[in-house]
Amino acid sequence: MTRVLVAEDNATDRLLLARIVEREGYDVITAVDGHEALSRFAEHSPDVILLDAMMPGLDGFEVARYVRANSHADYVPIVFLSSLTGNEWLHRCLDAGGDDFLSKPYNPIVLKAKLQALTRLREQQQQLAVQRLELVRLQSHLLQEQMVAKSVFDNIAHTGKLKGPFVKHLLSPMSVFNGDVLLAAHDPSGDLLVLLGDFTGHGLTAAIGALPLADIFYGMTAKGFNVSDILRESNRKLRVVLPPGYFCCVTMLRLSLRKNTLEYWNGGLPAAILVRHARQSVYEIVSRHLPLGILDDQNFVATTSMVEVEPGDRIVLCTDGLVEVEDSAGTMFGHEQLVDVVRRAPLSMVFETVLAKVQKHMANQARTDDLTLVEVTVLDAVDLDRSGGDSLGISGSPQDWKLSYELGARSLRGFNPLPMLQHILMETPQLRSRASEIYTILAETYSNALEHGVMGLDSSLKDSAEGFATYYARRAKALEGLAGFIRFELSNEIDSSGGVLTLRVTDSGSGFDFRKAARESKNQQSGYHGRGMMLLHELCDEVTYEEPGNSVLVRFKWSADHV
Amino acid sequence: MSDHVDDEVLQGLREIMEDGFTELLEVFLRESAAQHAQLQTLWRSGDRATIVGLAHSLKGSCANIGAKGCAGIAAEVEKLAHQGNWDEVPSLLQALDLEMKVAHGELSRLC
Amino acid sequence: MIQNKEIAKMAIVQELNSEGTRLTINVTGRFDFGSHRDFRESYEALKSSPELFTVNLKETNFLDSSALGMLLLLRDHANASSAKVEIVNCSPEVRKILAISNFEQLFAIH
Repeated sequence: MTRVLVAEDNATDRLLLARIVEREGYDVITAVDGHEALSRFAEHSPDVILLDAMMPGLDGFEVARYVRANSHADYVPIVFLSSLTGNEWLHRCLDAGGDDFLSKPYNPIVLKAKLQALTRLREQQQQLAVQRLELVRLQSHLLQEQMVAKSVFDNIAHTGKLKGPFVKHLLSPMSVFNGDVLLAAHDPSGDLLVLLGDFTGHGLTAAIGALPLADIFYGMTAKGFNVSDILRESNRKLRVVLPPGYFCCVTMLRLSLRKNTLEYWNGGLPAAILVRHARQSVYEIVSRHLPLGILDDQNFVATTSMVEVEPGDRIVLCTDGLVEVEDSAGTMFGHEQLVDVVRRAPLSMVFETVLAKVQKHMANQARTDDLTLVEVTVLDAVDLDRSGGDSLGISGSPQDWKLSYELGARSLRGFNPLPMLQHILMETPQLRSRASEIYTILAETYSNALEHGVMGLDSSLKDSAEGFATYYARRAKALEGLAGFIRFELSNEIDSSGGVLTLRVTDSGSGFDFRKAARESKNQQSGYHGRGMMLLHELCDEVTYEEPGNSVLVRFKWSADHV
Repeated sequence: MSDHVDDEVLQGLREIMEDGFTELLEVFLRESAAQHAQLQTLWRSGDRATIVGLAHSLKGSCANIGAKGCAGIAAEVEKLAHQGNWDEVPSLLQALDLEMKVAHGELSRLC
Repeated sequence: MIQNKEIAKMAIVQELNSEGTRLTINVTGRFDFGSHRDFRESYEALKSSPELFTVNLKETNFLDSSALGMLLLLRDHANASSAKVEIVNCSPEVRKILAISNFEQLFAIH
């Protein structure tokens, strides 16, 4: 039952008012002065208060202020009782937190209407308070979940080489999660791969796509896949994961310090800027592609470009949040200004100078987008090793080991084991400098086992240019209905001068006449095939075919000082 | 039809208060007599600051009970006292004294 | 992360000079059977007849014997219009494989 507190010092009025309120079906509590009103208020938690403005001791205004100050969440409507009139009084009543007035003589009908209105107001306020509490609870729950998710996200997305001396970066998200993602890692050959992405939107929605992107980037980079492969796989994944209309602008770089090249691909991000050490020029890496997550695999273009770089060159990357930072007049920082700042900045201070200029430009303006700035420095390969980039030290790495890996038909149909095996081999640091030769050995033995052993394809098809294409068309068709297996047995042994890598590849085929094939290989001068066996013999120290010709054993000796 | 008390207001109060009507009148008679007496005392002792509040209170209860003559004079006292215009207050207090007696007489007959 | 499909292992980028006399084919990553279609299309789809085909292997990490077959295909295609083929920017390891196959006798390798 709705409870009404009547605070009135005048006994006649109090009696009358209490009776009117009671007759309307309310529960009435009375107080004869301000002090009693407060104690009754604390004791009974009334839903509505009818309060005489002028009471001896504590007057109605003070009581109202106290009630307002001590019931934040729980809104208690207050009606001032007074025969006072005039704006000054009305003002005082409102100031003190009054919701309405009732003047003497009391009119029961007016009072009834007011009580009904205020009871409704109170109910609405209570609903609001409940909803607000619920919102606060949800908000804090959400924030807590986001913090947990963020730590998971950061573990996955930022476990790369961001702390090296070659990458400086500022990621400045608008909310807990960042729609911008920066990934960096070395591939097995020591090249540095960097990916800067800007997902549509901000916050959690934008961050969702970052997890698979980071997963693909780090996984494939570690296995030695190239930039195009990684982009293609990322595009395919994001197209599946992201809701329609969402995509990810990306610039991806591969910096090879051994070859002094920079391979790049930009789909939708502001031009990255290559600052030449020689200081004669800046080179802009402009977007020539669509962002990831838009095109299907067939239409996606993962073609990369290449420039030569020198130690000391720097590459500045940013997301559009940086170029679009506005000053108080609403003018954007702009790409031209960025290029200009980069061009003029002291070489060792490019990152810091850009950051200072951008911060100065935006002054105290609120940002509207996530903002990321990255600087990648081209180091000397020697510096990189010294800087603790990828240590080539052998302690803690696999040295003497054996591995047997057998692929069944289902695997052979759709899975290429070579990058994975190559990756395992490259875990042994001494083998890294022989990566190309080892890969060729793996590739030759595998394609022989698969194409001739398991599939029984005849390579004489490759005698003509047309046949070359036919051969690979048949190979693709044969894959679909393929049955059988291929087994790799790999081992690495260490000896005084270096070590020996041994590989045996066995297939489920009936075997081939390797003596005849060896003779033909030596005589082979025409056609587009038949060099595989010869390559194996040249690259390896020992090649042995085992009866009935479905197994080949090769030994590859490596020396410790080979560079 | 009286010039001193409002029959219509009293009829309304009878409906609202039902059994409590007599009690309400008795409370008013007692309280208004006391307030009136206090007004006279305040005037004599010169405590003029308190006169405004008391006149205001008396005005309110008189209006509620339908003692329209008393309510009118009390309102006038409140107004002049609020303005600090004390010249006419003694004559008003005298008029209030008379009006109270008449109104009390009429209301007492209803108890 | 598991690759369900045998994904492309390389990227082929061709650049034709403005006169249409020189086609540069850049091969990135692994040069093996998976790229035979792209590689052939890079020169077969041309409207002009270049005088010089340059295969840039600067970014080629690995190649296998089918890549050798593809280089021979290109050579025969070029020979038909009396054009020349050169292979440039080989890493020492790639060069070693080309040397093993005696490709130095068939191509100008720089």
